[in-house]
Amino acid sequence: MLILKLAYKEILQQKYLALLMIFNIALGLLGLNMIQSFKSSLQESLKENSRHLLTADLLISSRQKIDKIVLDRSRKVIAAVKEAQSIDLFSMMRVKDESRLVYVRAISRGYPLVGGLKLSNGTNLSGENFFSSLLKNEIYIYPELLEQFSLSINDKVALGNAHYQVKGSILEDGAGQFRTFSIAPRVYMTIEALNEAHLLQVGTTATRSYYFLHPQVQNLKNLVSALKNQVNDNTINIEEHESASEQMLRLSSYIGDYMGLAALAGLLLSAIGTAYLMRTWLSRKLREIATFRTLGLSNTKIILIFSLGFLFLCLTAALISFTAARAFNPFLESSLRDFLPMDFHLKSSLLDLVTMSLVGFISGCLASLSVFYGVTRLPVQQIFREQFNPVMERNSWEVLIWIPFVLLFGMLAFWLTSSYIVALLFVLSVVISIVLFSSFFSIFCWWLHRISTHWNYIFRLPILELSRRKTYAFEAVTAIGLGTLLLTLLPQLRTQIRGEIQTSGVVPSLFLFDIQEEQLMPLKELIAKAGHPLQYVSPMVRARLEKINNEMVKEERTFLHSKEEERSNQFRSRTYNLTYKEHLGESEYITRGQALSGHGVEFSLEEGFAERMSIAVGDQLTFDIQGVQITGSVVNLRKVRWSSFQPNFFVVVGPGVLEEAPKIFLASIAKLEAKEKLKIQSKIVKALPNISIIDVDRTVQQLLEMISKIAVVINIIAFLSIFCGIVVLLSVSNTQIYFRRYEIMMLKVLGIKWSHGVFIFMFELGLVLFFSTLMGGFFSLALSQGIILWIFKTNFTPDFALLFWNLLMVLCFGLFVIYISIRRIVNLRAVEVINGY
Amino acid sequence: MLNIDHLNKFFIQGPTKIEVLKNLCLDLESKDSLAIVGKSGSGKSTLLSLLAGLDRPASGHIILNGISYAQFSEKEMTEFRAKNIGIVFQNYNLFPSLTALENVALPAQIAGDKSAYHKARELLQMVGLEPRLTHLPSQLSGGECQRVALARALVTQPKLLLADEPSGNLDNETSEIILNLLFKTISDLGVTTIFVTHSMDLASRCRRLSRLEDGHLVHVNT
Repeated sequence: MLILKLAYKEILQQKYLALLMIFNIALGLLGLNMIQSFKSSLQESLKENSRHLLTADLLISSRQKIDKIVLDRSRKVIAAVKEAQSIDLFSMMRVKDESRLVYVRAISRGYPLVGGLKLSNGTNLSGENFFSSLLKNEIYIYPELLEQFSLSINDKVALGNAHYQVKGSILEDGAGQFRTFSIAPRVYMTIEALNEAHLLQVGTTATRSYYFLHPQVQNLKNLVSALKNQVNDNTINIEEHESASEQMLRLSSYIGDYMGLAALAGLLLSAIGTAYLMRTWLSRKLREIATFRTLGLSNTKIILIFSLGFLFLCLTAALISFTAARAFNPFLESSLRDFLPMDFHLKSSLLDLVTMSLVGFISGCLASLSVFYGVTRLPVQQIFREQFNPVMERNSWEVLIWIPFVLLFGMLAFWLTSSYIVALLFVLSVVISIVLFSSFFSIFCWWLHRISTHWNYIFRLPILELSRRKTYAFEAVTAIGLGTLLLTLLPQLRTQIRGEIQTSGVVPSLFLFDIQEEQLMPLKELIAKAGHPLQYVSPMVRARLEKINNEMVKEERTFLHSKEEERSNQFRSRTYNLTYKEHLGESEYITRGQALSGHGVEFSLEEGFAERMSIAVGDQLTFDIQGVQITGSVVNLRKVRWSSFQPNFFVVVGPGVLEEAPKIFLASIAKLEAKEKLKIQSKIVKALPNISIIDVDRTVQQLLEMISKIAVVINIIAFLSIFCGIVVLLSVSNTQIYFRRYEIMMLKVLGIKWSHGVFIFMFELGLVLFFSTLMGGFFSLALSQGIILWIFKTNFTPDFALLFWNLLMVLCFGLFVIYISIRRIVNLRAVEVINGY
Repeated sequence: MLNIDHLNKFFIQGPTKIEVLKNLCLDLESKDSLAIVGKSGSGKSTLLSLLAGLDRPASGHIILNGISYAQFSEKEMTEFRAKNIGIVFQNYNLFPSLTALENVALPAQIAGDKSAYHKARELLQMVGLEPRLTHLPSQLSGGECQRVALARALVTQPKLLLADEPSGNLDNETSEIILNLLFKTISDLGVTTIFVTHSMDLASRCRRLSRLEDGHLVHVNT
């Protein structure tokens, strides 16, 4: 009880400091609250709706035809109550002279087994009546197709070799499609109707799915495991609704992951600020702490008093940020709606509040470890001296005390992103930034000290203060620097990514796929007649990776369930599109090994793919191509510029191996004007209706719009980070005024005007702000260069104008904050110096 | 050279008016040294702050070399104090981030003196701290800090030196050294000095002694 009472009194005595700490922590937790709310709501929503998203309890699917024996065996094992089927493929929908890429889902009776579809006219269709509502020549389409083709219900459209009547448009189909990421709106028809279109040809990329309903099964995961063992074919995908929704969660939460990192940076800055405020708080209390010790209170109990006080502040801050985050929820919902597989509402729970309180408390405590340690080293015996003015000294080796704090943020980064690489990069970036900021700041102060020897005292005094007692400024430098880095990094990356995507003259206008071998010549002639060449014609052969170095390919799982592990396993269980050629294309180059020689079976692998699969140059790979196995060596690894939108492949086979294998072709057509593009597209679709065409220009536009939407949300989080940095600056200003008030008054006694006194402090803190802002901007350029080089393999072109305005904004706002906080210098009464300190 | 004419100062605390100084009068000649003693709460600090121009009296005049400054504006007072008044504090009040030399030179720089560092060096030599010019206050002993404070108070060649318990924080031996130095320096430079002190030893060294009682200055001897 005594400890609690003392803790409470401590807060009451330092109201201003307490308020500043609450504000600081609340700001730091706000971004994290929003992200946590988003992720947990999404998780809950996907879990609740998992059966609706899959439209079944269990799904078996494959891009190849599934053997009837395998299917029958699976049916026996599953013993489902009901079953349905679908065939999914891309195709071109034609209306008069216009055509668009669509995603066709041809269904059997009973689909969907769970949930239903809602039409735009309000009608709800379940599995019982969805199939029967469609005649053989009728289809349902997504509403955007009505708009794009200026269609009405009952109008006719062409797909493949057949014509269909539009029965209705679908508002909700609960089928877990990511609307924004989709490059083709969905069309529903019956399987019989699909047969009329003759779209299914040899080599056509189509997914055949079998849906099963079995609500009585207790453990679907075990059933799926048993099935996988039975089927033993990694080209066949078997999943139950829970793991399907988990997969969807992983895809959806990518945005949340990276927003989470930005929010984590904000929390980091606020923790640094908290440490500074804690140091200030305890520094003012050293005499009392020494007195406590003489009265018999141990160091542990003393630290407990302040920790309890801090806990109370954290709870208050968590409550404030929790409430504020809820106010942001509608905005976040509307911004992210397009990136989610379904509508959902952000919810916050008591568990979120408790979690955030703990995160704030633990991060603040760990950041303040060096402060607590300083308290334990207080020379209590000196209290008997009249001139007992204890200070909390700092030693350079105390940097080791920050290790637990750094580890905590590493764990938080992993918790948010499920990626140990990203977590490691985050921690390394922060540590390196802090070390670099502090080191360069020391050099900056030293340099100023050297050049200012003959400067007027108004400039010289603050420089002397900074160069000799700069440790107080390290927190501010780090906080402002990191905040500025984050704020300026994201816009730079966005500008670069936009530029990369929009590079004209390189990206093709149309990308064609599902081209049959016999259609290649007629297609070339058709395009040539229009005055354009067919470019980057690439054969595509589907194959399954059987063995690496004579060992069967299998999934690897650890308890971490990291993103790296997931990505690796996804690759391990896929079939691959191989191509063959003699020489590499212009969007790729060899990084390791030799060029394809044309002798024997040789593979060239994309670097990232090889890394994920742990394959090196010299390794032996065995692929199965429709029952025929080929084994060869990896002769090189290469880098691919994926943003070229050219046909690029993870695996390239040397010439003389796959020429006789069943294949289809991909190709592209270079920059076309809009009208010409429509004309050519229409001609191709009329003449060769099974060929699918992606309008790259439109896809690029969609991508840019998506980037803009994400950028708004990420920018908000980045602004929160810089606010945290500004709060630290405010704390530093206020604290410096407090601790140096007698110095300020002495300056007045010696004859300095108040305005000069204000200027001296503004100049000193302004130097800190100027340096950290500049360094933050500089490091953001360096980091941008590194990221762009890593992801896009090209050089970074900085947007200096954007950088300038961002830095100027931070500087102006920071100077304003400094001015507001030190203006109260004029309220100090110099006469108090007579009373001494 | 210093005239205090019917100086009054009071404070309001709640409903109570506390009269600290009542019609206080004083005349001090040039190069004189005066010790003011009195019990705690007698108004010594208040008198000191009025003399230093850090506070304003309720009424009365303080005239230094013919200039009455008690009713100056803050700006005028600051400028006047920079050039005419030096103060030595019990707690030294040195700037912790400035070296001894920089601490001493600062008032001269504020007053716009281009030879501030030269004068500072000379004064530090005078007080025997030439080897410690580049040392920070944290590297100096109490006695050394007080010597720096003394040098700082004298660098602008003030007309009036105010010393508030200059040896109050020092041990007896150091106190003796400081006081000897102090009196020698003010004698050499011919500075009019007022000491506020509890120490009768210090008081006995001054030419004049006064006691502050009941808001009045009672002259004990000349």
